[in-house]
This record gives sequence, C-alpha cells and structure tokens, in this order.
Amino acid sequence: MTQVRTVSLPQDLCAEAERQFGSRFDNFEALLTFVLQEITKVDASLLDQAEQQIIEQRLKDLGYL
Amino acid sequence: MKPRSLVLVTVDCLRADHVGFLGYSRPVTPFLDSLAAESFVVPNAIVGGVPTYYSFPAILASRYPLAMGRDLVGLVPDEVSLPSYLKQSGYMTASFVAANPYVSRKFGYGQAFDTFCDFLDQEMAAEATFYSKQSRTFRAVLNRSIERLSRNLGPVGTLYDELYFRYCQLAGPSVQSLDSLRPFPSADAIVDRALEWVGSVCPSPFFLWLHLMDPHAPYYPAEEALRAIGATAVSPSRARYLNSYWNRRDLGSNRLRSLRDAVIELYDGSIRWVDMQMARLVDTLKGLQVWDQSALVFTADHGEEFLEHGARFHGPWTMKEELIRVPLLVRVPGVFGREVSKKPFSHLDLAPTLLHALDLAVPREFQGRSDWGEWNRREGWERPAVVESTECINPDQPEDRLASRVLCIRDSRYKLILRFGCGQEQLFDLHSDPSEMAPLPADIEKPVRRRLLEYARRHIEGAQRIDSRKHRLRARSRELRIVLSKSAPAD
Ligand SMILES: [Zn+2]
Repeated sequence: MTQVRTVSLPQDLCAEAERQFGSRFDNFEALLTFVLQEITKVDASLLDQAEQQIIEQRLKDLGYL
Repeated sequence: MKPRSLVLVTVDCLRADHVGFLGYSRPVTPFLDSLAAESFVVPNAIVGGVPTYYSFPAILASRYPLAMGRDLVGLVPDEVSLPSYLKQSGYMTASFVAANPYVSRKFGYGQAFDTFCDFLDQEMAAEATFYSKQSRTFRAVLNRSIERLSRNLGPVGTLYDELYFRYCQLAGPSVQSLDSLRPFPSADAIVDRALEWVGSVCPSPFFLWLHLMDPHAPYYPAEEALRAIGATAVSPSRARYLNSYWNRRDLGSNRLRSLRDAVIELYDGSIRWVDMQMARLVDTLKGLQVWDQSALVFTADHGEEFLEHGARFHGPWTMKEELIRVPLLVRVPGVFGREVSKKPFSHLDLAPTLLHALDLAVPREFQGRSDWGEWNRREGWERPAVVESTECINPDQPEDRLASRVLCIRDSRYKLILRFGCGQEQLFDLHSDPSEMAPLPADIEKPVRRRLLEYARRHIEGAQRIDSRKHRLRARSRELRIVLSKSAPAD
C-alpha cells in the first residue's frame, strides 16, 4: 500500500467541500485524492523541453551548434 | 486629443485578402474601405495562434497562447488583459460574442467585463459543433455510411455516393430562409445589443469588444448582403447543399473544387453583412456623440482556407498565409491614419500599441510591445512574428490539449513552419513564392534557416522561463470545478 500522510484542515472547509462534491466520492479522502491527482497529473513543460531539444538537434545537424 | 473609449471588433475566419482595403476586388467591404482612408491600416497583421482558442490570448492579453503551458487554454484566472487593465483604469467594459464557445466564460473570457454576453444559452455553439460535434450529427453518420458503402461498391460506388448524397439533400426538411440555417447570431443582433449597452453607459469611457461569427462555416449570409455583392441568388436549400458538400470528408480536393467559387461567394456575402453592420455601428456611435472620442479596431482571429493548399476551414496545423494573415485597421480620432510598414505585425503587439494610443502605460505582464511610435513616424520594426498552436482540435478535452506544437516564424520575406508531431520543417521565400507552393530545399538559404530556428529556440525557451504556477493552479482549479460539477471520477 502507498504510504499515507495525515494532514490537518479547517473543519468548515472540509464540510463545505463534502457538501458540494462529497456525494460523488466514497469518502472525503477519495475526494481530496482526486483533486490533488488532477492538479498534479500534467506537466506540459516536459513537452516544451522535448521540442526545444528537437530544434537544438536540427541546429546541430546544420552545423550551427 | 486622446480617445476616451475603445471599440474592438474581431471577426471569426476573416482572411486579409478578402477585404477591399487590402486589395480584394469584390465589393465586400465598401464601408470599411472608406474608414481605412482615415485609419492606420496594417498590411501584414499576423495572428498569435490559430484557430480561435489559440488566437485570443494574443489579442486580449498580449500573450503567446502556449506561454502558460499548453494544457491551459484561453485566459487564465486573474490574468492581466486589455479589458482588466482598462477596467482598472476606470473604463466601463462589455463584450458581446456571437456564440463561440471557445470565447466563453468557461475559457476565462468573461473576467474583467462588467457585461459579458456570449449568446451561448440561446444559440447553438457554432465552432464546437463544427469540430467536435459534427461527427455525431445525423448527416455525418449518413456520410460515413455512404463512404463505407461506396468503397465496397468500387467504381460504381462513386456514382452511387453522389446520387445518394444529392437525394438526401433534396429530401431533407425544407427551409424558409438563409437566416434560419445560421447556427449563431448574426452581426446585426450583436451590434444591436452592443449599441444598447453603449447608450446605457455613455458618456463614461468604455471598452467594448464585439466578436462576430458571420464568415464562420457554415456560410449562410443574409440575402441582402448577397445581393449587395452582386452574387447570383442562392436558395436556402442550395446554400445548405453547398455547405454540406463543402463539409464532406470523403471527397478529394478535385471534386470539392467544382463548388469552391460558389462557396466563396457565400463566404464573401457574410463579410459584406459584417461591413453593413460596421456602418450601422459607427453611424449610431456618431449619433450618440461618442465617435469623436472613440478609437476603433477591426481585425480577425484567423483566416480561412479554401483548398489553396488542399485544406478547408481553419485547422491549427498549416500556418499558411490564408490562415495567419488577417485584416487590421485602427482608427484613432484626431490622428491622421495611413498604411503602416509592410513588416509583419504580430497581434501580440496590438494591445500594447492600443494602450499607448490611449496614453496608458503597458502592463509589465504583456509579452508584446507598442509600435504606436513607429506607426506614427512611418517606420518599420525588425522582429519577426511568431504564430504557435498545437494540433489539438478539441480543447474541451484537457488530455487532447497535450498535442504537438506547431510553430511558425514569419519575417518580411521568409517563413519557417515547424510541425513537431510529424517532424516537418518548411521554409518558404514569400518574395519568390508568395503562395507558398514550394518549400525551399534543405540545403538552400541555410543562414536564413539557422536565424529562424534560433528564433524558434529562443521563443520556446522564453515560455519555459515564465513563472505561471499561481495562474496554472487557479486555472486547473477552475476546470476541476467544472469536472466535479458535471460528473463523478472515472474510477
Ligand atoms: Zn475563430
């Protein structure tokens, strides 16, 4: 099992989040996990770096780098 | 005297070579042509991205569309933009957008406007329908069935295909008018609402932005506008047939070409309707006594292709001049306008230039710079225009946004197009090959190629240096809220 970490959050905030979105999740931890996965899952800058490398390779091929 | 108000009119899909003031011979823009005589006319205005969802960040926020990361589309929450800056400077702000879902609140365009009306509650969402929903329509399903059947029938299938398609067109529900076929509000409706708003806020300084969709496919111009350009009368069922035919994916360029002129006539009719409504807009602003204190900007978010290079409509990957070069006319009261330098002028520099004309400072967040001084001194500038997009055609799906970049570096003479997804690199000499028919061989003009590649490299490097973490988190939260409100997680 993945290691877990215990966090403290304001009670009012948790209650409001559960009220708005809780019915779609088994429990509050599942809701929080989903939100954190969603905001961390994509790193578009990796694509920028890959494209940057393609240009650099092209310049090398032309004898300029 | 500095203008007190600013009116920005953007037109979807209007290419530069289809307006009279940039040389088009058909009488599609008589009013705008007359206005051009007292305006700054930019002969080579280049968009920041293609299509709509990659173009507007440059126009409204002076930002390259992928600068915040390609997974963020539209304006990000609290982004400094032309409307937010003007609002902060005491302007009343309003926007009336003709039902283009990519220019809606969902993509951040509602922020900073006191009044924002995108007509999406009342109308069909045209551009989303055009790209992502068309595959689900009855006609699309029918067309795919025909395509499969005709492949199985061999040569006889082509004839069957054509006959059956024509039969379906004729047998479809009858339509009374071209207006009833149009899937978005036409320019007259947008102008009506905008003028009502101006009447309610003047004499306060205001920023008004109209986005008109009339020349966007499907092309259903007002009959009055078709008559005005001397076009042959087109019945609603004929217009529907032309649009359906033009939208077919199973036909090659040669077959489509047979109806190209008729389709372009419809497109031109739509431009004339925009011109007629622009005349009405200006007339009413004069009547309200605000014209003499208002600057007016007229431009487009991108152009449109009519098979010049085999493609139709406005996909994000070709970067040909038909798509990236748009009309740009800026009329400032009390300033003698003229045609400015033929150097490429990026939409990225539009907002800074307009703020300069309004005697306001340029926010440091803007990536562009003002050319107001150069315009007035009739001088040129030396930087090329950069156009960027990805091959994503459905930004509604966040995972689709992570598509490969398409990048175009265009200077006065040369144009480099890089498609990272397929590894294609094309260099064109626009002086010897203005139609971009033959990319230069790889061993020709190597120093030019190097210069433009270096520019491309610096451009991508610059994007990586922008610290967008705060904006990114807010933008992702905005989208997450939409996801959570709509559906449960997948697992
Ligand atoms: Zn558009």
